[in-house]
Amino acid sequence: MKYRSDIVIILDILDAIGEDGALISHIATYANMPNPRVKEKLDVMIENGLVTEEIDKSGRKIYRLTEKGLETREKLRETVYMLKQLGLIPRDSYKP
Amino acid sequence: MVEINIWIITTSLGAGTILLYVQANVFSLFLKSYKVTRAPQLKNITYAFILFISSTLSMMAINTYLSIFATQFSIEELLLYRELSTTIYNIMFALGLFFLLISSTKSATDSILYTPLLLIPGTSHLQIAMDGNILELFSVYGRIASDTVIIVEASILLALYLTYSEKEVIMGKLWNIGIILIMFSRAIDLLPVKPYSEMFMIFMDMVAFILLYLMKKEAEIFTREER
Repeated sequence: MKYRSDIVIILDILDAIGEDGALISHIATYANMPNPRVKEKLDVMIENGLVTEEIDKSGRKIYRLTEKGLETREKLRETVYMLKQLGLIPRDSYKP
Repeated sequence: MVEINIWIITTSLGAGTILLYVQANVFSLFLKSYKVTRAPQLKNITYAFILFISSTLSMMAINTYLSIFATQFSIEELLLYRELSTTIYNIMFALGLFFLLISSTKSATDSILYTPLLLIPGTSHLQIAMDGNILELFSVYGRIASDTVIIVEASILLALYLTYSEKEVIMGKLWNIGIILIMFSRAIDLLPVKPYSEMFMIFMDMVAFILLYLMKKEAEIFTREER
């Protein structure tokens, strides 16, 4: 499997959640990662205040981006863009 | 001769100020991203920029001191300390480039991991320096070693750029030119054209980092357009 930078993985997860929030299964499919690994990353993001979790009417857990999460996504997009330009990560490693 | 030295010290200070502003600006983006992601790749880039900023600060600090107390030094001392400031700058710059290189995702998979070997010539030169007049020899051999290391490191960065980066955007190409300028200035510095090569080197570094700053601005516009 192709090596993926941690920054790209985190950015993929933030993109998957988006403005509307997402279920863990959707995030895992989008980020191409197994559920337990996504859960691990999400727990760290919740701890850092980037993501919140809430239960919807049907009892499912929805993850949403906080204001800090939205700002971070923007900064990470800029960072990844720079790293791609510098040739420090592969050009196909992140497609917004 | 005194005038040339003072002139070089003063212009180095001017270029150093611009360099410092540009480096700090680009560094802030990587630092913000590192604080939230704790990604090892960004940690190495953060270290690289700390070294770049420290190299500029050390060069400026020594040059400021020299410009204030220029009259108290003999011409030989002025020359030695000015060259020493450039050597220290160059060694820290080489270390910064090294951290930039190991931050590449490619280093997780192939031979870039062996780049620390590049620093061996530098260390052996420093050992030679210990036998003679330490400051003078450190200034001469440290400079040759760091110039050579920077040329090799910049060549690898250039190769990474050609392998990995997106060719359709303008700023990436300009960064490519920036790397070539860094390499070219170090090649010139290996020739017996000091002190002019020192000035040229700092100006070329300044141009390369300005290109990096413009790339950051391009990234901001690109991200804003995407929204």
